[in-house]
Amino acid sequence: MRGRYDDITGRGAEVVAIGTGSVRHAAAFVADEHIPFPVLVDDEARAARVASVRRVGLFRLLTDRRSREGTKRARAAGHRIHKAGRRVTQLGATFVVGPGDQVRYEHLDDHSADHAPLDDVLGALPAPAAD
Amino acid sequence: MDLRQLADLELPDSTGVPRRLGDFWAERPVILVFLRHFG
Repeated sequence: MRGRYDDITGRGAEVVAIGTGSVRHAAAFVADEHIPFPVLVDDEARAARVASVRRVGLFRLLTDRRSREGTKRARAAGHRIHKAGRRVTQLGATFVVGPGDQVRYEHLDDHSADHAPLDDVLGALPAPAAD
Repeated sequence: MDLRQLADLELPDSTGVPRRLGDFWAERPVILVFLRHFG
């Protein structure tokens, strides 16, 4: 998402990330990873519950082959977890919303290595206005 | 997902300032990403 941020904002859209953990860890994440968009903290899962973000059992999280392989790929690519927060069993999700009350796209991750296809996410944005 | 209910929530940003979610997408589309963890 970060690599396409200029493209996203050039289309009049914004990215907002919501994570678990503390404000301190969110600040470290923004600084260390040079995150250009707003990052919010949902350590009590208030937003995650309303958005019906899925959770996975700890046993499945640790034993699911797709999750294990995803972790290997992430480590090989140099990614590391700054702070997992208190809800390690919460999965991710991606939505495209707005302007107003429109939900344009939703993807609820099915396992820890599952992510919304970026082309699908960008495809859900409104077409750029013609000059 | 109940977007109106989500819009009314306030969460702190990375500087600790409370932000109302709906303000982000009132006037423009937003890609809203729920992260499993920071990093």
